[in-house]
Amino acid sequence: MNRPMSEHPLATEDAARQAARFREVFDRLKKEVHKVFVGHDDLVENVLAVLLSDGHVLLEGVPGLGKTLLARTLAAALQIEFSRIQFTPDLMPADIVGTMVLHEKEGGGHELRFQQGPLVANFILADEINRATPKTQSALLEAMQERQISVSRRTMRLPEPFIVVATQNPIEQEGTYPLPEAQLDRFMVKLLVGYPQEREYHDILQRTTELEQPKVEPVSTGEEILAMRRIVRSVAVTDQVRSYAVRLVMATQPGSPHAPAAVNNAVALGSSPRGAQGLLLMGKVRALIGGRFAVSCQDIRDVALPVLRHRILLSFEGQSERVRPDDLITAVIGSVSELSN
Amino acid sequence: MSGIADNPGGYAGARDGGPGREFELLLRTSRQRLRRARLREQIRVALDRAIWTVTLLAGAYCLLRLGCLAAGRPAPIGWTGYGWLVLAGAFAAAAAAMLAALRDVPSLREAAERLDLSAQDHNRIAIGLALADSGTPGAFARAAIDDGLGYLRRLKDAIPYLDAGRPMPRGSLYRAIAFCGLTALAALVGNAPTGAAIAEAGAPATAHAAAERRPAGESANGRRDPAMPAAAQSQPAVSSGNRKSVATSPAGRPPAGLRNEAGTGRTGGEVGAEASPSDRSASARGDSTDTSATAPVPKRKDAKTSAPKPSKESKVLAGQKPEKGEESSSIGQGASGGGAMSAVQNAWSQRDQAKEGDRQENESEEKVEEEKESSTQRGGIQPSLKDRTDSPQRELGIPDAQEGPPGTGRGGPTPPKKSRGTASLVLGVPVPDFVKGRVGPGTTKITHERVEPSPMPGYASVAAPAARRSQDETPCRRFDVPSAFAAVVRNYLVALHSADQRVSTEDRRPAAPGQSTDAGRAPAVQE
Repeated sequence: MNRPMSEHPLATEDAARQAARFREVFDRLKKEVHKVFVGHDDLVENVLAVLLSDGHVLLEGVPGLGKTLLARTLAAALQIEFSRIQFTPDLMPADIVGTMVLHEKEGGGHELRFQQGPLVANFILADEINRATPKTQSALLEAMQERQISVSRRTMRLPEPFIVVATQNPIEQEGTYPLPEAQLDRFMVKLLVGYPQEREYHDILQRTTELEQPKVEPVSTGEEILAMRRIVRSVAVTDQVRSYAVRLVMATQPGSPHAPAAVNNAVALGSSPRGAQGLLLMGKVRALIGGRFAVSCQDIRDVALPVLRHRILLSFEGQSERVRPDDLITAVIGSVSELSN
Repeated sequence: MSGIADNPGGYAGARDGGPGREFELLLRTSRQRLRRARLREQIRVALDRAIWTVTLLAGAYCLLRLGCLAAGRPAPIGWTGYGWLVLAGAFAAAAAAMLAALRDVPSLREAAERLDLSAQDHNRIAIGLALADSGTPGAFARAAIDDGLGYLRRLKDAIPYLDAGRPMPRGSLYRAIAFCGLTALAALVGNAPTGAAIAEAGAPATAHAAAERRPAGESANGRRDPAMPAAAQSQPAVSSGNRKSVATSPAGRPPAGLRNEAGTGRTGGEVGAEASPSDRSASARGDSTDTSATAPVPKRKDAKTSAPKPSKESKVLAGQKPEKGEESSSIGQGASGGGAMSAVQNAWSQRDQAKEGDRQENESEEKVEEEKESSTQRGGIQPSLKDRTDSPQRELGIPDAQEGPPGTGRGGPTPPKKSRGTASLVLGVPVPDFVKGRVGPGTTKITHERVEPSPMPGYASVAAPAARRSQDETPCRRFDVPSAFAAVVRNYLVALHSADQRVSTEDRRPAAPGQSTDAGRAPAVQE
């Protein structure tokens, strides 16, 4: 019975080597970010996981918690083109996508040239995204999903890797425009930034109020990020885990056979298939971080909250009962069995 | 399972003695444990089904005994047969349930998944088994198979995750109680007396009664005594039928086989010939004497027919004057109401006796009656026919004016229309504003009265001097809600604000060490 561990040791070694390389890059980035951004280890891991699984992040938190700092630090740790867009109510789509401007030729005469906006970059920080009008917010739809922008008759591919890190404030809703569902669905995760712990306050004060300021160095490149994304997509997924992810997503949809009573009572709209995609991709990253070669049901459960929370639209009953999407997702996780039928 | 033939990557599957085969061998113990646990669980199910079955059987047996008792027949199944039936039913139900469990062999996949659940270590075994079966050629898949195999070697003797044993449902207890109750009810119902038993129980009393009533000259076997005179022997059959029966069953009820035939004039022997062999044998011994002696109490219908009310025909024949209600019956007139006697009770011969003059007179009275009765028809008071007036003319124009040529649209002498607009389209059926029998509102009369304005009596508002800050900032009450809702509104607002405070407190609460608020900290699934 003591057979060799594998009949294809080279393949196993190759997978192990790739996984080790992934973890090394991941740890390197994480360490660099933590030079500036204190605490919130899981938050940083989730942001990096989204970066490496080809998604977009929505950071939500009250002012002063470091949402913008986290995005800027991560961009600084990557040797890629970074662009920050401060969303304001008077921002127009042309301001971020670009527009055709009249250009004077050298030999005389004029011509229309495309002046690209700040959206044409690798790393987009959309700060306070809910302060822009829905018209401007919608300018991001095509960029986030198809990785291209269309202006006039011109369609332009965006550079790879492309990631949008948006921030928004859960309070001060005056003068803001809640993100439409189509926009929310394009974010792979929605991460809630909480307050730091007591000991982290000391680190924050020490790093920010003294003469010596920590400096972030670029520790990875765009090409390396793309290579990491290919490794992520190589991670194996079995039917059991895939079925579990699908049932979890379906359980968030009211009227579904997998939906618990809490979802049927309080949810108007459940997760889309993008939620299942996000679950699997994020689960793959977690499997690699955990030193495994295949996604497990526990990986899916671990990423269910950030992946699904913004895809659940509460009904009037749910809102009046002050039901939180996180509670619903917890109920969904408790009701769906990981055993195959 | 797909073997290497289905696997272009060349990864050996279970058929080729690869990792799939090793998974199968290592998971054997887990499968056996899983199967034993299933069998144990199925015992409860089998017991439950057996209780179901015997309860149904008990109910059916109880119904059967009640039916036999009502029919006066003996139950076809005795207590011994019932006992065997219950035993056989319970055994069959339990055996069927256990047979299904015996056939249900846990699959390798299920054993692997349950082993993973008990180990709570990222489904390594199930992933390895699934990838080995699917023959996925990727490097990560091979690494996952090796990982799962190595993990299974360490965990091969672990106990797989088993569903928690469920206790017997309370319904089983209720069904068992119902079974006992139904069996007791069947026992209480008792057995219906058979024909032989009836004959045996009823024969002495019948013979005694017959001996008492037997007319002189008639022997006990019903044959005429030739020594008796014929007049004394002649006995009307009707009078024998009206005799009160003294022969009853031991339980005080009339014998079932002899109940219904008194009014029909049939003898007990005839009935016995139709009933049952036992009855037939019993009645074969009897004769007409027994019939007259054991004449049962006639049924209610027979009692009615034996003493009918004097019919109308008999009254007419007897020269009596018909009652008023019968005379004014409207069946022959076609009107629906008015008759004191219902249509069913009227004899058909009565209508045949209606004369032509009566019919004409009735027709002349029909309109009057219709007008009288129309207000009470259709379940309520309705407008009468006489209140109807002719519909207004639909001719547009002046009635008295001379008709001119039709309008050509060129300014000819077309008379002006009588009415225009929607009012001309409304049907002109006047609806009375009152109905008969009720106090109508009458026409509305509006009177105008010119009165001079005069000051109304009241209290003049007086400005009270208020000291600074001695009163509320505003005289308006902020929550000016009815007292009945004040508590509700207050509770709602308190709950609303307390929830806000709770949420804000939770947001401000620092995360646990080493964790952020976004950790995927979903609880482990407990099946």
